[in-house]
Amino acid sequence: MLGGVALIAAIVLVGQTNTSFAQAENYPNKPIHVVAGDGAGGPIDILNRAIGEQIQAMTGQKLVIENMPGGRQVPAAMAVKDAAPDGYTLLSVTQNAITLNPLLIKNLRYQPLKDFAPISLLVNQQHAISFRGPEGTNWKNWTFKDLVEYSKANPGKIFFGSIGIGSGSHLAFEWMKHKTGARFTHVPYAGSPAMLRAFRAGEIHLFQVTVSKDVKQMYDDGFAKALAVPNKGGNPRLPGVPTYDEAVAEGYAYLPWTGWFAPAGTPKPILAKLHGMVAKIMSDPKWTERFVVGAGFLPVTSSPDEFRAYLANDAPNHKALLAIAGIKTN
Amino acid sequence: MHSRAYRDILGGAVLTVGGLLYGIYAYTHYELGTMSAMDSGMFPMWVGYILAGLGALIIVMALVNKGEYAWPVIEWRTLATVLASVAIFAFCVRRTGVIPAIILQVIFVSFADNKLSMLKKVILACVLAFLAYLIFKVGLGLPIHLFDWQF
Amino acid sequence: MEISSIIANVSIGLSTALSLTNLFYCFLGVFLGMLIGVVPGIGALVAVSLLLPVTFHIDATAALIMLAGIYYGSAYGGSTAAILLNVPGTPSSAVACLDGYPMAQQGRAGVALLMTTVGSFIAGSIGILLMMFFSPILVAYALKFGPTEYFSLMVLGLVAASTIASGSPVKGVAMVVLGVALGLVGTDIYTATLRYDFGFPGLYDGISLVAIAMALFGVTEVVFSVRSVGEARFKGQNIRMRDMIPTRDDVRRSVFPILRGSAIGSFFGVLPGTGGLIASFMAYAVEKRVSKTPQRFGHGAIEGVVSPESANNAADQTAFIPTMTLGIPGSVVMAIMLSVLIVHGLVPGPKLMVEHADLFWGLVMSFWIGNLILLVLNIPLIGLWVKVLAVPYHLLYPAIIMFVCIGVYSVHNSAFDVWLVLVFSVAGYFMRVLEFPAAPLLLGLVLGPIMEEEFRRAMILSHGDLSTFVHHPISGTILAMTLALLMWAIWSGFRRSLQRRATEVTAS
Repeated sequence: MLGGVALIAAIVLVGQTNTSFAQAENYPNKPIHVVAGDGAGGPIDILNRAIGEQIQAMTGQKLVIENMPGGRQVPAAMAVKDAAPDGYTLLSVTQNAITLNPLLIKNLRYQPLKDFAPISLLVNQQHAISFRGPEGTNWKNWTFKDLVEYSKANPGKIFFGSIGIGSGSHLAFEWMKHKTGARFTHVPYAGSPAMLRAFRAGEIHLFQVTVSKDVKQMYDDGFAKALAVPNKGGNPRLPGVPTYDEAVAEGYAYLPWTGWFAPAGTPKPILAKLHGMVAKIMSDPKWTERFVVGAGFLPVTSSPDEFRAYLANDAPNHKALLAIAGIKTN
Repeated sequence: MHSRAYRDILGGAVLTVGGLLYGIYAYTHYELGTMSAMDSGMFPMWVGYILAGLGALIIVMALVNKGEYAWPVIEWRTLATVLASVAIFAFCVRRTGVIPAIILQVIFVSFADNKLSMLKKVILACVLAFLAYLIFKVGLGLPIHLFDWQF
Repeated sequence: MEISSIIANVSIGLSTALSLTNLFYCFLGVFLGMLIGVVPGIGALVAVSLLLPVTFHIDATAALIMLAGIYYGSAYGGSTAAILLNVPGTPSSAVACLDGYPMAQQGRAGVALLMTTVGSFIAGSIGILLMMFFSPILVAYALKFGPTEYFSLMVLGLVAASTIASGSPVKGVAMVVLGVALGLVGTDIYTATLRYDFGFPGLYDGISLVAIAMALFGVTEVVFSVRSVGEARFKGQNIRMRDMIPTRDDVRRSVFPILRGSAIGSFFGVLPGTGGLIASFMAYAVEKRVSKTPQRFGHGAIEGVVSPESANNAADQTAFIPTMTLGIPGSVVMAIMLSVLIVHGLVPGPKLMVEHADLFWGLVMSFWIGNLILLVLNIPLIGLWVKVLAVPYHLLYPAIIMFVCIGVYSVHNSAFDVWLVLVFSVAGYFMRVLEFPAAPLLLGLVLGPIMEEEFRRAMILSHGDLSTFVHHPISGTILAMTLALLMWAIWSGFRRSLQRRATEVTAS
């Protein structure tokens, strides 16, 4: 009896793998829909549209970007959760949807690693701490340590901006305060444009920012200075700027990322095929310079299994940082 | 005809009650914080109370100012028909796709005045659906699903 | 800047903008923008984002010229549906409904459309001139507007809004405050707390402005009109060319409103985060204030149409100033423009004007050409648009409802937003029945989040000291103006009721 069940199960399993291999063979044979948790023209959106063009060149199939911005990417995730797991509906989101939402939102209606199959990481953000000191100080010569000393001597004088509680731009400073005893005051903004305006106007002195070309320009013009970069091994665009490990303290592990997911149950060969395509696109330096690096990202790809392992590690990291920042988590 | 502005009294009452509920909800559900570090409840709480105050002021003014006021006519049938057609669209758009959603909606909404025969309703619905197809799919190339079946 | 260098720049710009390719993209942009503006629900954002991939492959100048054309073209189109059908094509043309639709009912739709087109052109031109000559100065002043200034300005807007509605000012204020309350729904950026979301992810980012605008104006209008309008909806349905020509009185009444609207629009356009909608409301409020006959407003006063639409268009042009010269986009559409620049390897900022003079000046000159195209394109189209009024309403209203629904849906691909339309249509209908004005609510919805955000930010920066609003000179001045306006409104209201009482006494 048991043997019979096992036999049937084995047949079914073999059958399934066979069909899924067959599916992967001629995949894709119709347009692939990517639900992006980002508004049109946003960084994730542009990245996906640019990838879409490359995929169309490779396979002849279009990548249709469906924008479902906002809602902490919950609407986007929900739209893909119940889609057919055939590789024709994908999800492109950031750490917010996968790592942060389960920690911050009560009764979240999806379980990231159960409802979605990771396909590949796409990019990490290239950050830097931008700094412009208060008037009347020789801030241009300061290191991060000098800034910490100044903030301790002048409490309530140094303000840092962020694009919201729990964002990387917020957690980085909470971690720095925790590690160094610096006295920075937090000023949240609704988005980077508003924060950039405030920085330009001298309302805030510090913010963590994606090093896109216009930000780089700000450093080159001497308007601001990059105090530190979170990346291991430094930021290739900002040689000579110390890493957090060097300038602040060791152990900062928060790198905002953007990745691709499929509904759980999508055949593995299809996931592998998609990852292969992404890896190939990301290995073209001319293309990445234009669509990835220029916007302040680093191209990073990882196989579905690597990505899953990465995500398993991501959650405790975030949780620890949120605890440092005093944010209640689920 | 009424000697008081009952519309203002009714509207004012809705605003007063709504404002109070809004403010109290903020007070009971969100932290207030301090002036230098306001939390998420402070601003909405005051907005709610101010709204309630304005609602009360509207009531008072309506009670003071006497005059001749007509009671408004409410077109229940039209309202219900139009709203139901919006509901049909909202319900269908992700389940049946855009084209069936539009056709059902247009046929339904044209019952609001019922000036068209059933055949004409269907024709109008098809024409509008085709127009939407031309504008949104062909013209703009929006990633909308024309036909779908997800229940 | 010296005259000679300006002439040199203008000629560079003209030669860039007048190249055949760029002219083509300019025409394409403004034409598409105008059509999209007319369709209720969808705005420039949808069109700009759809054409985004195209811009990867064309020259940066051509790409920006096309996207910019869509952007300001849609502002031209937005007022068309507002005037003809009382359904704003874009939320920022909601104000045009207030007097534009009554004008249409009086058979003067052609005049309203023509004058807004001309006003938009003049306003656009003023915005362009400001961008050409005063970009650095305007940017410097925009940076002076910090949290205290923004907050005070929003308070002024709130108080000014009380005069927008034709009924009682208290009702106007109450509706703005209701709008503010609705505007606070969603994630609190300071604490990441979700407020009044009741578990709907569709509310995490607040209530969709487009959904509310379409519900309060579009659907509500349909419910009201279906039964009340008979066959002969408007006077003079057969509108002839003659009816399009404004009278001398129309022109005389429009000159200063267009100029004032342009000034107000230019001002708000430069401030990131504000923009066309607030500008158009403020322009309307100012016109009603300075008018010797404020009672005409709401009943087809031409000033009430041309001034807000001029403001809207001027704001669209000057919004490019902080985007291009500082890299600070004031709206989502502007953010897309920035990303187009960056994809093409260009860096927005003060150096852009110098290092890529052909791009910057080409773009500025294309604005002018685009505005000219819109003017030339629009005038013959007015005759066509007005024909819409001749379509029997029983064929028209199903189309309006359909466009509202699919338009709202397509903004975020969100069925939830369509359900919001339903909820706010109920609210809108009863507001209209009870004579509570809808326009101030829309303004409040935009003002609310800005007010809270800036107030709290000012409190953080000043360590909880309320006097910060008075100590900052610009903020203090704005608050003083607000107070004066408030006192005056109360006083005139008081005087009116005294007068009424006096007449009642003599009558009895």
